[in-house]
Amino acid sequence: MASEVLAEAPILERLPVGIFTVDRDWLIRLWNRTMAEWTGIQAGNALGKALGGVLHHFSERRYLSRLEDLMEGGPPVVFSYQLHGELFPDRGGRGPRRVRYCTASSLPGSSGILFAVEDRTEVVALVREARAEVSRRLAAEEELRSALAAKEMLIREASHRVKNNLAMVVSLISLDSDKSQDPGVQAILADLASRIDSIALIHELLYKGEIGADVGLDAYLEKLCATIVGAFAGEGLEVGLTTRLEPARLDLDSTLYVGMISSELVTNCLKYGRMPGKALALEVGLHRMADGACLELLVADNGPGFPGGGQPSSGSLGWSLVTMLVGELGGRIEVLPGPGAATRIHLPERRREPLSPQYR
Amino acid sequence: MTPKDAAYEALAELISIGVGRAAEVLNSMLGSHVRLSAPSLRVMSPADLAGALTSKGEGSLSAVEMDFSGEFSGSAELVFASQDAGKLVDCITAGIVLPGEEDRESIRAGTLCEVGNIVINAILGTIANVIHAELQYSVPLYLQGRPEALLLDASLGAGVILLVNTCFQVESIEVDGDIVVFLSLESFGNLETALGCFING
Repeated sequence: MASEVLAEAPILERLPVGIFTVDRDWLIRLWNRTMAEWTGIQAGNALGKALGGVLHHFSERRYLSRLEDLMEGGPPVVFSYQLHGELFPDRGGRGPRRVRYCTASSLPGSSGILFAVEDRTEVVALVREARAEVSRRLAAEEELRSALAAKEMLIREASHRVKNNLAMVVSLISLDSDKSQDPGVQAILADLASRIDSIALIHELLYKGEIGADVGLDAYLEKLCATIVGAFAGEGLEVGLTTRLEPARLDLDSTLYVGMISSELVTNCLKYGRMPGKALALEVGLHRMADGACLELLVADNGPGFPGGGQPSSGSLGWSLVTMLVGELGGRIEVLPGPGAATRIHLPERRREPLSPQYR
Repeated sequence: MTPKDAAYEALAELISIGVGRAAEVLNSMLGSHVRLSAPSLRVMSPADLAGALTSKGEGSLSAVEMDFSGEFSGSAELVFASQDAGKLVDCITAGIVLPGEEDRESIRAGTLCEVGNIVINAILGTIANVIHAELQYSVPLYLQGRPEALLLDASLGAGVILLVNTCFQVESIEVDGDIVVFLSLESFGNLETALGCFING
């Protein structure tokens, strides 16, 4: 009953929701403090007055017809902001107009109607800001994606050109090598061409799609070994190459260094691992250690082993290069006992320090 | 005609009257010409609902839900494909200029809530009036989401679904809407009984 609602008035007075009630004669029986604050209509000017006299739109037939069912216990009726923005006067009328929704419900015992007016201005503003923020972020993401695509295209293009230029350098070295009659000079130039080839190969992988801060080391080594062995096969050497390469990714610089190390070790095997009457078997392995932080590179053959059955000669340029590059990567070299020449390189999967500028 | 068939016929007739009333209220409230096509009624199990919705689109659904309890209890939803709901609201509120920088999507949701409120009230109100049922209603709630999420809550505990399809025609656009009434088996039985009493005077 309306009197029960009125008994709750002290609580309703303090709600941050506009509350007012009308009885069966459409007279306003409750007008809370929030309604007074929002509309500027004080309780004294509303209580006991006809609803349509205080809130003029409610005298229109289209509103009354929806409210009449509530006097008989009908379902709640909502008045949305977009369709009824002028339903409630705004005190002062300055500043942005408030977004208010009204729900009218039947009072118990069909003794009247309870109106609850909710101010959603701040919620709507927050939603608008959130949507704007999402739009801004989507636009920024799109911009980044475009910039990344453009950068990748440039990297591909640059890598393609670098690879072609290196191939030209290798051709020039081969031409000079052909002119020389000195086998020592020819060997030095062949080694040089092979080292440049291993650098060119990584650029080939880059422009063919292996783009990114990290590069697939296993794919690179597979192709590198096949290329080097292929070059020696052209000289009539029969080689059985076995690769066991677990997937691993390193940054571009480290991948290049591991490639050059592998190139030296494989080339050494191909040069010095041959034995009369015996096919050369070459094994290249890449394994991740149990701790997950280290990689192990293995290059081994079935040849006569290192000269004197011991360590490789520290005076050779190839071995010096291997030692230097492994040190630069923070790894260590392990020469395995024979038969054959077998070298195991332990490498941290992530380099801690940037490479020295002279090696970059 | 069996008593059940007669109850079904009466229910379809009451829903048709309710939809007609909803169109009247919408026209009077909006000052525009909104037509609602003759509704079709189907009674089905909750498991068949998802496949039977005509409002389902590729994306999300927008719905207005009202719960009711009393001689028969359950909930009713007016469901649109969200994209269609946006078109419908834009069409019926064409010419209404928002005064500030309000978020249009939020305002649209509020307007759709009122449209759903009018349609559900007209249908449930007509049925309740005719069979003299005293029902208590919740305030309408606007929902938006994927069909399975949107319909799951209301489906829980429901044994029977009344699915009413009607087409909203405003100006040159036509938008399919589904009115889904979720009832427990007991509530559906009570409704059938009450309709039977109404038919037999």
